[in-house]
Amino acid sequence: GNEGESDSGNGSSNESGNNEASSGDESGGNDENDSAEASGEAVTLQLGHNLAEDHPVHLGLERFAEVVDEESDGTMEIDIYPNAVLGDEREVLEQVQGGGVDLTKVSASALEGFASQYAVFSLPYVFEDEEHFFEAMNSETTQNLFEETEEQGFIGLTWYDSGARSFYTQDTPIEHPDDLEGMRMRVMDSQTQIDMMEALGGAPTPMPYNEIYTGLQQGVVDGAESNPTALTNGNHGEVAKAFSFDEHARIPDLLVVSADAWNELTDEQQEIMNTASEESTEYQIELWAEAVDEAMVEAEEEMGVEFHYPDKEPFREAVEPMHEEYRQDENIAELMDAFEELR
Amino acid sequence: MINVISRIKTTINQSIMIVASVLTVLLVISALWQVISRFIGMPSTFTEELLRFMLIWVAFLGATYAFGSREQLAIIFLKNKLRGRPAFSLQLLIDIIVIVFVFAVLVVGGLDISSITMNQVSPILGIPMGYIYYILPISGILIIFYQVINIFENIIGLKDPDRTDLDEGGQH
Amino acid sequence: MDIAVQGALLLFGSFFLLLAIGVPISISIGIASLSTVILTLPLNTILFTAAQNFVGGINSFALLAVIFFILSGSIMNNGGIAIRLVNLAKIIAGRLPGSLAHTNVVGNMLFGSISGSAVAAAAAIGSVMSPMQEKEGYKKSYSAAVNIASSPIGLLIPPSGALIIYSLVSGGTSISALFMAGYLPGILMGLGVMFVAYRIAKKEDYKTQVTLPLREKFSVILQAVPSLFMIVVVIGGIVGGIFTATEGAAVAVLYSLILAIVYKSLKFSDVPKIMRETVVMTGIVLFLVGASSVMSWAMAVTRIPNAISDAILGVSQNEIVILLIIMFTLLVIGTFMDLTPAILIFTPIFLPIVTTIGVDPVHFGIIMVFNLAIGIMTPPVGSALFVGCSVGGVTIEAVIPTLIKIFTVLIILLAMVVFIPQISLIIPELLGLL
Ligand code: NA
Ligand code: NA
Repeated sequence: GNEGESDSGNGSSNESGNNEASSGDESGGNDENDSAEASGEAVTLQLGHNLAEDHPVHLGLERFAEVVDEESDGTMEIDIYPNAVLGDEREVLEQVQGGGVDLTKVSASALEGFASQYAVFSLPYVFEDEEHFFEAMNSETTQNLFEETEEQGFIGLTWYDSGARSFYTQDTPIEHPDDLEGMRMRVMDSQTQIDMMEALGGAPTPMPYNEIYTGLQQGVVDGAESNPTALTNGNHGEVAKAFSFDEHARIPDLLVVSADAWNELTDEQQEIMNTASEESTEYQIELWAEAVDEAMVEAEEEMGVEFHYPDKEPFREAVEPMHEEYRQDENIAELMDAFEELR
Repeated sequence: MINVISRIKTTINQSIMIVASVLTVLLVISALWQVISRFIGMPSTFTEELLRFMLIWVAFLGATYAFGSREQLAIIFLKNKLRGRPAFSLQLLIDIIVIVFVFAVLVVGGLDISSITMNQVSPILGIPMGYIYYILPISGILIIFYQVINIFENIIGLKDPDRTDLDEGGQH
Repeated sequence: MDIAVQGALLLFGSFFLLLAIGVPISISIGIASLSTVILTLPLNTILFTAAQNFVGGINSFALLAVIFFILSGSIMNNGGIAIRLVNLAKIIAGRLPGSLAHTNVVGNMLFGSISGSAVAAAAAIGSVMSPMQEKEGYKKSYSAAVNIASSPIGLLIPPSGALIIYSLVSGGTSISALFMAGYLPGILMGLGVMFVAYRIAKKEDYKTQVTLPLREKFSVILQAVPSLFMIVVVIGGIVGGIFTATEGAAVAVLYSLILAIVYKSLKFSDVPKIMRETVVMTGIVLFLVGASSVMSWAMAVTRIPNAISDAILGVSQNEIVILLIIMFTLLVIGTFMDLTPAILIFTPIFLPIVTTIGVDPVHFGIIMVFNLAIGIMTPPVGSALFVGCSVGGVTIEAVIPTLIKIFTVLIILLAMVVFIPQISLIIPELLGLL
């Protein structure tokens, strides 16, 4: 346990008001920070997320905290709580909405239930490749989307790369959608993921993340889908030996901030947060690429996982009817068109 | 008066037990359906979420009932040492502590979280999450009701020490 | 003072104070948690976050195992399964001094191999055994203590709700490996209890049962086969990948219902009693789980887990010392905290520490459950103790002296399980699950 490393001096910082609700009261200001009067009152913001401390996104968030600290001359502090200690993604997001927590990292797929247009990121083959994905995530369209949820109590700050999701099974490679026929494939708890799996011909099987390992080991499910780091971080490579890069979805992680907390920040402070989030994204993208490379090497050499590279075209064709269906939601259609233009 | 109160209590007891029993049977059926449906190659996609939500409701209903019947786990060492008025006062203090906590967290906090999450829908069933959280204020109000009855019964017990049947003493 | 230390003092201080005056444990946990987070958070956010945690703690698929094992245990308790297992246990253990006590232990082991609840075992086997033992002139305190001490064996011998929950909270440790790892420590626990029972029986000169003629033995075995076939159905179904461990608990409900109908020992009029038992016990356990989730959150916010792990690693870097500290801490926790919430709160705190010193997560799961299984038979809070005393018709004070003798042996066995990983890991290794 070295959670404490992520943030210096968490002990004393907690004593002052540490979130938006109390940063305005008499205990919120630290008079000692006169040097930083330009950035307004000192604030400590809480950031909770569900990933381990060696995860690239956590490291990205640490960079975010560092830059915020530097740029604000120490008057702004980000207190990070990793490992889902404040709750799972949905729960921490609820706390962000209610003002109990200031910031959180959520998968875009977890946002579907809060703002339906976010389903666009969970649709298969919305992005052509990594380049297109990056382009789309950095576009004005996404920036506008980030701001749309202010009424729901949170605002998107930036995104982090979570790679491309592909299928992996005990031993049968998925070279073509036909190979999914009759396969019980674990999917995340979300309607888009169920629809995707049905569109591709597999039997969607929702299952808690923590049950996947045993599920694959005993054959309760025939396969699952994620990016290659699941093979090593979740040890799934011990029980799933065929990984097929069909790269059906790229679902980003998003850094969101409570709308109340955001609106209590001064313009300078908001600027600092924006600068820091941009920098952290650039940093995280590099770390992510490294992590995927390392995971693949480890999975191949130490776990004996075989990687397969199927032709993606048949997969793309199979999900076209699904795209049409989701386009009936105007917001999603608009987003898809905007992303399409960036191809 | 005693009769009216005990009749209300019995009605609530029975209602809780009927709802919770039905949910428990549904839990078993849904879990088995999840197994069968997967076995025949058409895995059920809704049961996983449904099961968790039903479990939450059963748990709170069962816990509420256990407050009413004073079966919640507690250490009764001190209570057993006392008799008469001191015993009554201690029990009153405990009951008030329970009421304050339950009111603050289950009722106030529960209504808060329900309203925060009313616009959020669950990923599979599309139920507003606020409805799931409604079990908090519901069970909170029922627990407070039970605690008040328990206090009332203790007052009668104090006046009439022979009626030991009224306070079973909270442990099993 | 450091906020974590302040928080920890407030947390544990207010908890023990409330507990001591008799406030329900779940409420004590809740209030202690709130009094800790109030150091760092404003009240309005505390209340809804605590409420959310109460639900969030229960909103977990693995916890379905709790209600299913309570329900199947309650059906088995009413369904004539216990008596058939006891008859079989008599054949297995009937030739030792104090044979009925050994029968009780073996009965609990057999019952435990089809049930995942200690309380159900204590009630089911204990209520069959205690009248028999009383008739033979055994002291009530002796037979109750033996029943209590052997009732948690089913938490180690699969299927086990406790191990399912550990698997979840430890981040997906293989449940098949955990289940297979539980067999030897479970059997060891049973032998430990039998060892003490044997010594006392010799001293008290308790009788040995007459052995049955071969034909009767055969009939007894035949009668127990349908009950024990549940092992094949439930464990086989889990290992064979037909259902998950949690779903297996629901299959156990179905199977015990079928058995009760086949044995014609379940009346329709028993149903309300079974439902009441199940709903109330589930409510009590899961409300504790919800409250514990509030406590976990309160501890995380005030960084108490970091402080605990710093404190442990500050005492020593030596793995034996670290394991001893954790073992001792869990024994203390087990005295006042129920098994399920203790697993949920303390696994995330201790597992990262022990994995850094090279302990396998499967091994640690067995350590946790063995440790906390002792806790459920100790006062002041012990579900197996309460139920065992109530079916045995004795007071808690009366069983304590005998239980202390058994604890001595169990703690030695616990130390063996802690320091000899092979006891836990050999079977899953042989089966290729590790
Ligand atoms: Na068991
Ligand atoms: Na105990």
